[in-house]
Amino acid sequence: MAESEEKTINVQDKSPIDTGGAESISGGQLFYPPIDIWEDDGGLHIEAEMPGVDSSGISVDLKENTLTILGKVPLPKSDLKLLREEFELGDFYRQFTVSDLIDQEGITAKIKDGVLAIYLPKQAPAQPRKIQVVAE
Amino acid sequence: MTFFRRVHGPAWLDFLEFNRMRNQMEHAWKTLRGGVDRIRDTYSAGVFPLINVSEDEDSLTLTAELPGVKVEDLEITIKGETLTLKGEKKIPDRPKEANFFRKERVEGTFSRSLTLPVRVAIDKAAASVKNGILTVALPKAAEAKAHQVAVKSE
Repeated sequence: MAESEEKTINVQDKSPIDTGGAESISGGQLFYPPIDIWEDDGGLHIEAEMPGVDSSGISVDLKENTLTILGKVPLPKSDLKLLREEFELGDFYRQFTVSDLIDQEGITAKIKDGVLAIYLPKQAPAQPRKIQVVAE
Repeated sequence: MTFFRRVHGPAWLDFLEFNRMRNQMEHAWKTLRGGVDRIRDTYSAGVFPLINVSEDEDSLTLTAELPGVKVEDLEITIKGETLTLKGEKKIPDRPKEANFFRKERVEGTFSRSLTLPVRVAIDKAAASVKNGILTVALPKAAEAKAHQVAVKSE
């Protein structure tokens, strides 16, 4: 019975980025990686699927509240002849605006099996302060 | 459709329809500009995962993008000229209290078969997964390789 309840994956084409006429010098296509973003008590989790990208090809930058993810995919050996091409290769790119409530110093990122995982911890809430009143 | 017509009025609906048509035209134009080769070489079988097949003199190479898929969740079988790729793409459980803003990653099982263009040496086939890309190396069977006949001058 459990067998029939299993979910089969439907095919999904990669989402190319329309650069609005600007061409990349290297001639490669850019793609939006599929992502999940969720929040738990500690902070925000971002997971992006970037097959072909390893730790040397990934860059995660935070500049003025904009988080930029860029994953470089190495080009295959050119002496191979393509018989069938169902997907194109290209780099992955995506940008997010990050709220001020994130502890920017505490952001961590790791990549495994082509899945990038970024953790953005929430800032510790301001501690209530009690001011001592000294009798004179 | 009737519902939308009542809420937004016919003008808005026409606009949406027009936009959709324009997108289709644009897509057709882009495809044409890309050249005839694009149409011929890039097509999808409509089954997950998408597969690229390349060839050199001695072997075929299949690649598929399978981010997050573990080797132990994959099963590849070759019978004659048919290769079958089965597996499961799993996403680790998230905490119960997780509040989602985006959910684009998908998980589930998959199975697809394809006919190889040449006979391959099944016993020498090798598969590996690296950075979420499956690569299957299939050395061609001896009879499928092009044989060069040496011509001797006498």
